[in-house]
Amino acid sequence: MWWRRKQQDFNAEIEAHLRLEADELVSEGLTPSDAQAAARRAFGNRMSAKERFYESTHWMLWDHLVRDVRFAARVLTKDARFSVLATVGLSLGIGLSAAIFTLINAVVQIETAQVMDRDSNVGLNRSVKGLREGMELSYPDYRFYRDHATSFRAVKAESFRFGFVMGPLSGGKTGTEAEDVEGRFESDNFLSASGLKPAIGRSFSQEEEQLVGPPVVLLQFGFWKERFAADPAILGKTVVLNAHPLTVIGVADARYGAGDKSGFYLPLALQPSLLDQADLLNEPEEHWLMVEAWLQPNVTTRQAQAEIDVLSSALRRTKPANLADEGVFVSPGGVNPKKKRELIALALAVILAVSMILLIACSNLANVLLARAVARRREIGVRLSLGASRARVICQLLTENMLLALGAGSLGLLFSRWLAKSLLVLLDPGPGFDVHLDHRVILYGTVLSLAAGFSFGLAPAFAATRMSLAQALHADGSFGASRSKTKRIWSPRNGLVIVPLAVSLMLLMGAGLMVRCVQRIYLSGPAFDTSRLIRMWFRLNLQGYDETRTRQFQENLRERIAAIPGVTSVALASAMPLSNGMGWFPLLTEGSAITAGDSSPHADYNIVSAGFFKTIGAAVVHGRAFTMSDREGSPAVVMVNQVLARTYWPNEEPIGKRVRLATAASTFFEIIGVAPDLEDAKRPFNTVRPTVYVPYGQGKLFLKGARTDMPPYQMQFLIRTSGDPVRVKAALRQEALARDGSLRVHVQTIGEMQETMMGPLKMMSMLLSVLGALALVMASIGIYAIMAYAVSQRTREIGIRVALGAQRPQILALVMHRTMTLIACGIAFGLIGALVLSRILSSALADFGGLDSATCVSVALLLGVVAILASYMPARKALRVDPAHVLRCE
Amino acid sequence: MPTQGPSDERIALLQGTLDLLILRTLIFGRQHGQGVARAIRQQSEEVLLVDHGTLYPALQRLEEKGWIEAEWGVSTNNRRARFYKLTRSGRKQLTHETSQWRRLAAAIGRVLGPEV
Repeated sequence: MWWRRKQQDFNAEIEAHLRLEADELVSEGLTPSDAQAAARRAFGNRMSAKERFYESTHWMLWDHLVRDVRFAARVLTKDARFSVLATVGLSLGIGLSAAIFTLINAVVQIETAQVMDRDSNVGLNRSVKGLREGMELSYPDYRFYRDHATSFRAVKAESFRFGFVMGPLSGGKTGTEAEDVEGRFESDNFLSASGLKPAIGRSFSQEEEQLVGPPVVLLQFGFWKERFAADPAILGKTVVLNAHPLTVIGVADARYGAGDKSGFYLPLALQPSLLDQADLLNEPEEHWLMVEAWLQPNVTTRQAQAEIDVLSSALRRTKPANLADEGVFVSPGGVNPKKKRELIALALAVILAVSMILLIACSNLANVLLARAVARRREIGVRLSLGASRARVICQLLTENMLLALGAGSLGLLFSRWLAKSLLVLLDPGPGFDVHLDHRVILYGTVLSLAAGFSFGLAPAFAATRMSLAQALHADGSFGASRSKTKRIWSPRNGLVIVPLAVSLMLLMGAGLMVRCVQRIYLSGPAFDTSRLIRMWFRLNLQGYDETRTRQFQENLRERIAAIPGVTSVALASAMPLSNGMGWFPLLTEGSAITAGDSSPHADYNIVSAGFFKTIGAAVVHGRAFTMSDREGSPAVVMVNQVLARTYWPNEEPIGKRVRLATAASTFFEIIGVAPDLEDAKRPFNTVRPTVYVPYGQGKLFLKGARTDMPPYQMQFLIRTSGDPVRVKAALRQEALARDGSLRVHVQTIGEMQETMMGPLKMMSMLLSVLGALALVMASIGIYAIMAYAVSQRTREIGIRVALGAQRPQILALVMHRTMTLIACGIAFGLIGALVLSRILSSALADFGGLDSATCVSVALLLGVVAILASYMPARKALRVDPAHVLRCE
Repeated sequence: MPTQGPSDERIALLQGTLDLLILRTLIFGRQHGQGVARAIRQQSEEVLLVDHGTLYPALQRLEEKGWIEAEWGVSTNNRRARFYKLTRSGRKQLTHETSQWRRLAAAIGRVLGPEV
């Protein structure tokens, strides 16, 4: 029947029946009024017939749903404590899963949007003796395969990301100071190969890739929007990168490089002139290009590999001996399929781990509901005996759980948004990578909460309705009694308490460790005053400064800075205190054998001017500090810090010993003084690395042959102020820009520097705290469930005991005995786990702070108190048992 | 299904048999609800009593299953009434249920044995 019969139609039929019946009875000899009464009597309850008709024709599910939801809301608000606990616990679990899903979703979105024609997309990876060795190829190799391989429709090359200094932009709202930017070198077809087009303007021509004509550049879409306010007039304008003027000819497609920090795309041939540190372009041993290709129609990966093998064997003959084993591996699915597979594996692992948390949350909730079902068995019994079908009661109970789960789900989605944002800050991706609460995430959250509600609600609902009516109304405690008799501590249900408790303890311990670490740096801190110490640095090597100009600039500026009011002293150094030095190179002491391998002793190096230690405010421990007379051409001298002196000469006088870099073939340098240890705050566990200090004028000599990021003559400025550091900072910037207005100037106090270094540490400790709190909530719910269940099971027993004269403390001890054991177990396991972990960590990390007793005790105490509170809530119910009431129920 | 009336001779219908009886009654042609109830009572020689209140939801149920069809018409004594008639699938259902019932009744009869 596809149309619905109306209620009036049914009523009319009943009326017709009554008239027909009455007619018949009249014909049998009754009076009309008697006949009508008899007909109605024979029909029975007209209302019930109408009700049954109503039920048969309407979509009763909806009716029931509305009523069930209303009833469930009433039940849940009545037991608010339970509802809040359950919702919070579940929402944390759902929130965590949804946050992870949000991130994975964002990554997948960006990945899939970037490359068209994914099926024919392959990566060309470098291989050695047929085994995949690395991802990148050299530029000559790329040229060779691009020009000779016929299997490919297009071959695209892209470099790593390089840092640049963008010169001040002329005019308008875009600001006038130089800034740090990043960019990649690309082949001319970097957009068209993957089926993309420039958003505006054009891409490079093939000639421009080879650097014919004026140098050109494309902007990344996100960078264009952010930095140039999406102004189309940028086309044809000039930007200065590393002191080279480039013409902007276009903006890349919005999908290209979303989530990447590159702001610029440059032709490959520009590399040597823009980055003067190395000519990667013509160096066959420099592997710096990620090469992707797109197969011709009807060409398989295998065929392409065969062609490449032939080509590479031809290429090998032209190569130097040490590259003779090289080949190229064609990998389906883009340049880095391994990374993608790893990403998927990682995502799966994370999702699995997160679902375990959710599973624990659900099981604990199921336990709570089971306990509630015991308490509600009279209510359910009454409903069943009044004629509700079992399915109807199960529906009702499930509705309650669904309401809980959906509430928790929406709360969890809000929580996940916050969590995903903080994770994003921690991961620090580029522009264009953002997390949204899009329909996929919302769908995921909803499905997850419904599934959760169903899974933790179904079993208790079935258990609660599986009983005979007589038994239920008799209120005998036998329902589920057989399960409560188990006295074993190692049951799965108890595991649900012990495991999260232990995990929570470990996580909170980790969070505590981080907090202590931050505290230590702030409270005890470095051995000098950081608030009035200012750091100023430039990237002169990127801005076209050669050695003579750099030295001139630095000397000139140093004199000017010394004259600024409020500046008490100024020093130059290649690396700041509390940061890493010039590089981690092997150190050689005079007389020892030359070992240049990785296992030989390494040290950090810092090139400093005279007055460095005076400016920091840390006194030289032993010997003398550098003076102005330690310069180029004077006797070669160095200083070492206490850690280095202790390591190399534990019981000897370090002064007078001679050292040099193991890799450089320079002369030995004599140690003239021992410097104090300055803590390195960049690493979480405060290691002080052995450090060698070299005088400014001799740095080039000392580091000869070593490859450093910065040229050894390029220094940072360290300024000690007496007055307000903010005012001095402004003056410093002004002074530097007065020398050269196109310079990128960084100025910050050492305190600010510490703050930025501490950021990830703080975030980490916050994340660990959140996870630890989550585990704690799980554990609490589990404890609450077990207690509530036990108490509701033993109500009668408790009643009898009270009637026989048991006192409150005895009753409390009776019901809490078991949970106390569980809590003790959980904390003990957690402590053991934390100890083992810290042992492992301290063997891996040289100067791991280790567990301190204060953190241990406070975390264990916190956990204990919370757990006992969770068990006390239901235990109080046991105290309120009224013996008269319990025994009367019998 | 509860019985109506005081008579001990009358038997309440077994669950599930009402549908069968309704279908059987309609095999002689279209009939309205009251007629169906009367027919069952008369053909069972006043032993089976159909609760009028349950009859109409049952008719409704059969109609939704597509075994019977209904339309408003006029009765012999000029009353408006809703007339039901068997459909093709209703006929099939009747044959099926009848044979089922006969087998059940015969089996029970064999178990109970001859009358004592």
